[in-house]
Amino acid sequence: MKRTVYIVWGVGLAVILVVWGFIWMKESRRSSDQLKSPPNRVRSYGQEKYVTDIRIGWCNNDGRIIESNLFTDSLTVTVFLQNFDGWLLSKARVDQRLLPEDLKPEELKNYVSLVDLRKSSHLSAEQEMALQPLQVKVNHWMLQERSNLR
Amino acid sequence: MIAGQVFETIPPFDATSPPTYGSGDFEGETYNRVVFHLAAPADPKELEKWRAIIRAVGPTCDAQISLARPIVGTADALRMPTLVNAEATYSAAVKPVYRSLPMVPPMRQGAAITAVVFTICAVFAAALGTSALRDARGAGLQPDQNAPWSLSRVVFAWWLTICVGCFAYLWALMGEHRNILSGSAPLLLGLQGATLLVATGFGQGRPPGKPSQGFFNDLISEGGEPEIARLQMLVWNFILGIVFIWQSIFQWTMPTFDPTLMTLLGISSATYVGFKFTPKRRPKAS
Repeated sequence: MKRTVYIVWGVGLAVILVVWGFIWMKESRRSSDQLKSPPNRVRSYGQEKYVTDIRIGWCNNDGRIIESNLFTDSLTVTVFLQNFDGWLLSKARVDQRLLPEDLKPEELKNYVSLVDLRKSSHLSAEQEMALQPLQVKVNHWMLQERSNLR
Repeated sequence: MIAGQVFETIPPFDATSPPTYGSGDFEGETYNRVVFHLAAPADPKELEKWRAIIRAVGPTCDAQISLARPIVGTADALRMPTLVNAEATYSAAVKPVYRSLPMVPPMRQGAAITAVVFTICAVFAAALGTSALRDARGAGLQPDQNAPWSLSRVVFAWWLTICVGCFAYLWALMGEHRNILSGSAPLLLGLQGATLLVATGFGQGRPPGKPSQGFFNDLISEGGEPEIARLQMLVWNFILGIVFIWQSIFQWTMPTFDPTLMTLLGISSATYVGFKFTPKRRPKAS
């Protein structure tokens, strides 16, 4: 009778080991695929609207996992956004519900025109002075907006 | 945003890292890194969405993964186009990326299987190594003879294994224990527990039993003779147990049996107990 009990536990243990081995194999294949390639970066060709990559784990900017916890209850995912600022600026010009309270639609319009002007030619000292406080507001808004993503 | 569902209660925990700037071919492009911890949401509505995705795609999701910016005060969300698992490309020069997102962390997948196998082994070991699932040993039995298997004990162990195994499996895979146990599970265990209690109580005053005639024969026989009441109880519990296991594995939720089915199971157990009372007055076959 004892022998039968040992056999039952032995078979159970073998099944558990096989399952863990299978999970480990699957995971090592997935992580080696990820390690082989840097984050997918593509030119957006002015469309400014791509999430370029999603990686399993807490990754640095190069796509390398910087922290892992085998016993965590959750799954960590790193999302690499491409030209998030440009995407948000273009969307906010159409949908003003995205704007924070301290940034008015006219200010956004002014900011965008000043940035465009700076790209094409130099800004005057007055224009630079006007751009600086707007830039602070926009930077703060961008940071907030990244936290608002789901 | 996973498979078109926006999870508003899962915010990024690291969205403050400074952007990196593309160089060379990528001059003018900026890259931001946002990190999320994906876990079953606490909000019941979002939890149901989460479960629906897991039910639809299984532990690994190949559906489109993207980001959205919910608009406060509305059900609306601004969705960001993505290149991850996207069906369409937005430009001839760019290619989508294909990634499988494990909805269930690997450790939990392993824990789920371990819990189920452990539960099954524990019950089997108890059944084979002890007399926990057998009737009380009668005085007339030889030392090398075993007492017969007890139907009420086996059925109770059957439901105990199913309920514990399914609970451990769903808890480990879902990552949360809320709303896992359906209303039927405690009822089933209570019903079988009561049947066991009554059957054991009435069995005590009976004459010493015969030795075991094999697992199936013992289960369907009373005093060495097959009984239809025992067979029907065995069949009903087996069928409902399979339904329970099937729904737990493939629907990721414990079934809630309707009152009619529970009544049927109650009648089945009552018939079994009732037949234990009835004295045997079967005419001998000529």
